[in-house]
Amino acid sequence: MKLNLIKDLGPLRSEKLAQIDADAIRALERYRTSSDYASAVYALKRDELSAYDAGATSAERLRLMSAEAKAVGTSLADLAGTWRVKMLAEDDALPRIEAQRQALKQAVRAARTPAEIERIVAGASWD
Amino acid sequence: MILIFDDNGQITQTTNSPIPPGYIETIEGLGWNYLIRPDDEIDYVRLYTEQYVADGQVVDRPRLDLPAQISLTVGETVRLDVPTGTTISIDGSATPLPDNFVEIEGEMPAQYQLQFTNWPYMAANIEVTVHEA
Repeated sequence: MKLNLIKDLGPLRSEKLAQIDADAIRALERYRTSSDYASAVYALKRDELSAYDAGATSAERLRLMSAEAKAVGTSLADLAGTWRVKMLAEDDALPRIEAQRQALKQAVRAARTPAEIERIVAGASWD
Repeated sequence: MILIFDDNGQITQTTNSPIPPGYIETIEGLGWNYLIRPDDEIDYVRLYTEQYVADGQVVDRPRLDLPAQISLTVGETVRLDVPTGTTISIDGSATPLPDNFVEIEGEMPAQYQLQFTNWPYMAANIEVTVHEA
């Protein structure tokens, strides 16, 4: 009788695809927290920063920015600058992380050996 | 001491002295196989795992003449001779072998755990590593 040594890659593939998703979420959380509260704050900051860049300065229109500037003792201009840097970093990170997530998952789906799957995931850098 | 064993010689139970009155009559009535042995120092783990009863004696279970590790490249085949009635398990999936040999071909690079079982032989484990050609 002859037997061929071959692996069922399904379980390992599923495990690594889930790991890639989890790694991507962790990587993105370095730039933004994925809670409903944080999402609401980020959305409001984006809205107010757009308004500030368009010339708005009133505390009524910039409620969060005014309150935060007052709380930390800084000017609207400095706070807007801080927010802008963070948003630019986030805007840069999201597409980069998502592209990497998709590319890694495609590579894992195409891999033909356990070692190849392990190498793809172990070699990924999310920095 | 009384050793009780099944029809294959596998020891299933031991009873130390003093043997209760009527005990032997009971197990004879049940049709069980038994062997009376002196109450020497017994290594029970070894008795149950590495020994069995053959021709009225407790003897060591024989070992399969197989390597512990095998290295193959993809497409390479190795032949392993085994006694008739052996079952091979590859990564836990068992296949009874119809012949007294098996040919193993490496198809996908990976590590595989093979186990050969065939009472009264001791189970043999082989780690097979298949490399890229």
